[in-house]
Amino acid sequence: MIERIALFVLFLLGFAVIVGHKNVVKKIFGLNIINNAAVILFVLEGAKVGNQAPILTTGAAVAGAAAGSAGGSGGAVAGAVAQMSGEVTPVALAPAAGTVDSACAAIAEASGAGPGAAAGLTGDLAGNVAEGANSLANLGAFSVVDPVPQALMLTAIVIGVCITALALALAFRLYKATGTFDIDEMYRRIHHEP
Amino acid sequence: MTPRRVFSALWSILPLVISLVAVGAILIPIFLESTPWPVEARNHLEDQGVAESGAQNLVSAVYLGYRAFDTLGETIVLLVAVSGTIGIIARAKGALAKGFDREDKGSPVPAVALAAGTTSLSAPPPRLRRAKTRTDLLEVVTGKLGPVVLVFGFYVMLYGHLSPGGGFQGGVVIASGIVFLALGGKEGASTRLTEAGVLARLEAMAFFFLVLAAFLGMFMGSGFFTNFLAGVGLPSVGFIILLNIIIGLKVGAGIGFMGIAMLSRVEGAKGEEVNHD
Repeated sequence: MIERIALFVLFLLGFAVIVGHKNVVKKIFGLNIINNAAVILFVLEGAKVGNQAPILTTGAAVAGAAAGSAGGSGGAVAGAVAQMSGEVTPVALAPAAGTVDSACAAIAEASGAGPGAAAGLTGDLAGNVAEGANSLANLGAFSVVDPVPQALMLTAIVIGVCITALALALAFRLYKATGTFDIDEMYRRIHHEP
Repeated sequence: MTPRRVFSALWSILPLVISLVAVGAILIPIFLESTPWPVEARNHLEDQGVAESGAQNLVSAVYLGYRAFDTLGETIVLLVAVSGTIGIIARAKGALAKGFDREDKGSPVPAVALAAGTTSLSAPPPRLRRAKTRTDLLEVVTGKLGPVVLVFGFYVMLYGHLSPGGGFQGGVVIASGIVFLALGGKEGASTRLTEAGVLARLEAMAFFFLVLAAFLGMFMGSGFFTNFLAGVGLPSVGFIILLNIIIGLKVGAGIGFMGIAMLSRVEGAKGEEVNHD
């Protein structure tokens, strides 16, 4: 909420620069400020629906999210099981346990149980973790931000740069023709010259 | 202050206040809206974006895959803006035809004197003018940093399919690298990348290749601007990299050209240096 009010104030500031100043170059930069406020508003709104950058490094964020949540919850369960069985050796699960199977193997290893218990643990844990991962993915806990506003604002920024350059070229031409940047003085010189 | 002065001061800022209140009243519903952002596009892109367009960077997938036609239109806008800027700046010699030849503060060079080839102001010769603006600070910061910024621009442009970046971002950094080189380079030791002719040809060639890449999809049988590399057997991310390179060169050359023109290094219609101030 506070960001939107700040952007609103920024937009009004840019508009005040356009209306209030007499210098042509300052008016052009007021336009630039308005452009920036609109761009930031778009990107900010698009970033409210997720919390990761829109770059999928493993090919599918859902599979990556499921693996990540499986590894994370496997590590938490392994820590709980190790504590309950009295083990105090730390279980280094974080980077290695990318899948449910390796997490369960590490749990079985840490608790010292046999392979049969590990298989039973795997079946139980796999079902629970997959279900949890699915519900997490549906909730969007590991989802990316919306990339569509960012793609739109890319072109908007580049077009803003080009239009600012064009407007500054026009201001330069006006200066060459009338000798001033002040619009009131320009008006006087254009209309009162013989 | 007398009441009359207070009143006239308030009266002079009244249009500003009224316009601000009017714009604020129109924009308040936009900035304080509370409807939730629709997530259908994001969900679809997260599921199918890589498979359908070939890019892991979903932003690149949007503006180079799903909405590539929009990107073509944006490059046309850039072309028009660059042509307009060059046309206005580099041909400013004829703008003094109205005869504003006063000598008060901020006045331009007199039109009559400029047309006659001699100036009545004590303007130094062009070579001395150029050297006077090239201070030590500018030479160290921009001249030495120019190649570094250029390399960073090429990295951002080429790596845009895997990390934040791409054609537009890399192109703008390349343009700033070109302006750095032009600002800080020595008189005769600059690269050819800061010459106006090279940049103009580079931009035109990049635009031609962009249109060619768009039509290649049609020749391969998939449609305008589609990713045809998957059908040929190459990895489909290659199309994204190719488009990133083309767009990066186009944007870099275009905006660099505008920067060079504003540094008054572009020759006018008659082949001589114009606007020495």
